[in-house]
Amino acid sequence: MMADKDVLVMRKGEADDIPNLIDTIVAAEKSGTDKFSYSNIFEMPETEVRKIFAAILAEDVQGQELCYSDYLVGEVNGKFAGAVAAWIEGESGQESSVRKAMLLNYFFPDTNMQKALEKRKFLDQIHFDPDIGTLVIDIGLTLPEFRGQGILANLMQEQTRLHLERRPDVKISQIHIMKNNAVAYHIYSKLGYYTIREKTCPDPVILQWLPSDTQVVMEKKL
Amino acid sequence: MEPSEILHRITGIMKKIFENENLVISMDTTNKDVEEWDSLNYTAIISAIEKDFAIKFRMREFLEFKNVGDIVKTVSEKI
Repeated sequence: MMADKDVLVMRKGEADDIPNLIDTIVAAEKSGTDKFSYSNIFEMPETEVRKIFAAILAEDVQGQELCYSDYLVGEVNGKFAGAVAAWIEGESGQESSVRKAMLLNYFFPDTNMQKALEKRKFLDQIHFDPDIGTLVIDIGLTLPEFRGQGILANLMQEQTRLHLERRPDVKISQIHIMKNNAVAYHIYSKLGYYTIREKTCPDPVILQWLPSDTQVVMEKKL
Repeated sequence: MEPSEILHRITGIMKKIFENENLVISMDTTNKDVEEWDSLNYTAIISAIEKDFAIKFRMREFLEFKNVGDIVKTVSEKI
């Protein structure tokens, strides 16, 4: 809980933030459930996935969520309180999903990568690529002890301001969330995002791996 | 190996992955030109190319791929 004297400081993510960012990514992926999609899809324990995330984040490849400098970190009294990733889709020269998939392919062992590829006909059914040229907001999360203080909204608004300062030609922001994530949906709706697309995988097998069988794309005009 | 021969082998790999014998691939082809060529298929293509040519791409190489021609050029530098 933030007291009156507490001040939220926002800054760009740094290499030292990697352990906190991994916690953020894992919690955001679980989307309020105990299902960690990467562990389920790659058939690898969470502890091992976290090590691979650390290696990928250390490379700081921009234009996808496994990149520390794409995050804006919020600190309260010097303590990590939350983070939000953002980038302009396609600005790196590749789509974010391609960039991330190539990194996963490079860092995950072949056997685990094959296990993921075997599931692709199901995963494809709820997959969306963000539209090229949009501001993608991704992996937004505030730690439980700092929730209810507007930190996530502040981080999202500051990420938007920073990107628009550099790229005033960008007119749309997009967010992809799993449909079960009612808390995130509520926050994003309050910030002016609205649903534009939705995809559901009709095969219940998807629920063995993901927190929801439905992915939602929300959009906001900037 | 000539770039055209590398392109021919990569085309064969992609026909198999996309299960489409009529697929036409050129040096300028990008993932946007082939409907089924999404991020997961991209990794399948890269893995298959690495196996077929017995090479391994470096991370910074595959992050620069913009079209099939970029892949062909990098493969030609490695064999």
